[in-house]
Amino acid sequence: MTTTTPNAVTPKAQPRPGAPSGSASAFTTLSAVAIRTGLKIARSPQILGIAIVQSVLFLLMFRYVLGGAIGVPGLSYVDFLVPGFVVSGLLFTAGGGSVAVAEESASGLYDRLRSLPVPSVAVLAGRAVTDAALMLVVALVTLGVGFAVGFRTGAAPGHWLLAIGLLVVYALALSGIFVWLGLVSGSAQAAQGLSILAVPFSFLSSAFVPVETMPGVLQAFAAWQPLTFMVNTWRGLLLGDPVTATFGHSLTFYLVGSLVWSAALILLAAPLVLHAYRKD
Amino acid sequence: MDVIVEASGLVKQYGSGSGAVRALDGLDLVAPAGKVLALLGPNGAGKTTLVRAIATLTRPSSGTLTVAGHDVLRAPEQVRRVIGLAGQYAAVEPALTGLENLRMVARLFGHRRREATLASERVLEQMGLADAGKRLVKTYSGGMRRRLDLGASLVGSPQLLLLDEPTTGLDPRSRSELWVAIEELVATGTDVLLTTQYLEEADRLADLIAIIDHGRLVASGTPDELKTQAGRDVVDVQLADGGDLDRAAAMLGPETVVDRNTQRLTVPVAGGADEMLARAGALSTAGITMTDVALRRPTLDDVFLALTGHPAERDAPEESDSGTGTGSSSGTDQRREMAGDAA
Ligand SMILES: Nc1ncnc2c1ncn2[C@@H]1O[C@H](COP(=O)(O)OP(=O)(O)OP(=O)(O)O)[C@@H](O)[C@H]1O
Ligand SMILES: [Mg+2]
Repeated sequence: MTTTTPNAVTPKAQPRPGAPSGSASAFTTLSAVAIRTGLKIARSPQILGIAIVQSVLFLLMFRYVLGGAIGVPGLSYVDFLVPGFVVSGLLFTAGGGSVAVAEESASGLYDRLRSLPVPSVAVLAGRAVTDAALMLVVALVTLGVGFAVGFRTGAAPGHWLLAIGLLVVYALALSGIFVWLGLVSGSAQAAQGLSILAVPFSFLSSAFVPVETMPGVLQAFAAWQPLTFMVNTWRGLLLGDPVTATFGHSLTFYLVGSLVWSAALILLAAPLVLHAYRKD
Repeated sequence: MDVIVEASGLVKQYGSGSGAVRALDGLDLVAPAGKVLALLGPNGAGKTTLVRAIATLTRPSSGTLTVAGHDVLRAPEQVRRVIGLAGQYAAVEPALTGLENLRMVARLFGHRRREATLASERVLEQMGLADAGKRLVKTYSGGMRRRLDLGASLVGSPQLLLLDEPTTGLDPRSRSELWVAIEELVATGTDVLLTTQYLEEADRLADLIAIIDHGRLVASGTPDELKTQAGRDVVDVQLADGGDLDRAAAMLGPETVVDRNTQRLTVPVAGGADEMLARAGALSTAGITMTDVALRRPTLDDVFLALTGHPAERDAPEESDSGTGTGSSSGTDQRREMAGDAA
């Protein structure tokens, strides 16, 4: 290749016509990715629809099929169940996010995004934020259905506010892990399979039954895993004293514990997600 | 001469030990700015790996690779400001409109909100998708998706466009439409590095061709230089009766390439027209009936065969399955494979 190049341009000299003046900030990147993901979800109503139907069906089954056989001291089962169900339901909705991430990864979208001059963290955070928003919507609809099937609470507005705020934190903390599962699964089917892990994870928590009823090792796991902290915090905030009295620990213990777990999950997920995203 | 891409001793190894694959195996390549460079090579030659390394998606194992003077390992951010990538598979979102797809990418390229919309509309126009811009991409044909994907790679007006098999899987008409689109871009001063398995495409689009095989540069130059490099002219002999093929091939010598489907024999000759007449005369004397005999300059096909020892993909993609067999099936199937590989 010895040909001369009369029309050669000096790489760094003049800005090219039509080229952008700056580069995208982390915030711009995050919101562009979040808007794109949000639009996609809005355009495919079945994504939200299926997640809601699934969540509501399970709630009804627990309430009316299994509920009669599960006794909870000092509390009706529906009151025990609904907060546990709303919080653990975050995991089930998040599985759909994993599948979408696996699809996008296979489609070459992430190759394009990685070839652009934008911070990777912002791209992934954009995805996680949208997934968390979807998780919240499904959780709130489920909560509404919970009221319809007999859930009652006398919680003060302040407690409600705190409970919803914490739900946002939990959703964000969990979505990172599910984005990671989607990236490492390699295919949508595998991601679907992996997201089934939400089932044992939520059964081995205080979401559906009191952990005291479980045998030794399982009880130890269930008592200390993040979902139990999140669920018990929600129960404590919405149901107040009768419930906190049945906990082994105070509401503050669970609230702080759930925040520590949320922070830990985010700190764990961030490097895993980045590493999986940047893999060759 | 300004250089846009320079690779030297570039190695990319996947895996280790006995299962290791060297997708790039000491590749040296210089792509001058202001030119269209086509990377030509068979399946598994390392084309995609090289494009991914240039796009900072894959980290080279050793050797150096610079893009517009920036090292891909030391200054990936700088490299990303220079390039626009259209990968081997169209990375567009079916649930969004064409315009929405482009606008997100335009924002990420650094365009402000308004600029992003303008740039996206301009690109849609340029790609012949102006009327389809407001439609969901899931209603697009394969060719339209491919053009949209190409559009996404250039909505930030990058200095260097990387196109990995831009026309694979397209019908001949969509292919030539995409060629026109690429030619128009080149006219506006964008540098293009594209990969292809089609010699015709390289011949049509490229100022310079680099032939790679087994992760190494086998030959490079302008299309004409390469054809000259292959040296001798070739004689095509068309037989009337396929039963004569083996006998005729034996008479023409060991360099003869036999195409049984078309009953055609191709042999390189040093002696021009005289030799052609002599060869044809000998066949005729032996009682072999020919329907056509022609002397011609070698095509890139012949060059490719001479340099790599195996034929390149020739015609439209749908016919190529019988050729080298691997990986040239439909884009969707191949994507599945890739998704599996990534696990
Ligand atoms: N992620 C990977 N892990 C292991 N091997 C890989 C990986 N990616 C590519 N390879 C191998 O590297 C070699 C070059 O692959 P590459 O995709 O660069 O070829 P190509 O020239 O683009 O082929 P094609 O024309 O089929 O697209 C192949 O042998 C391939 O199997
Ligand atoms: Mg390839």
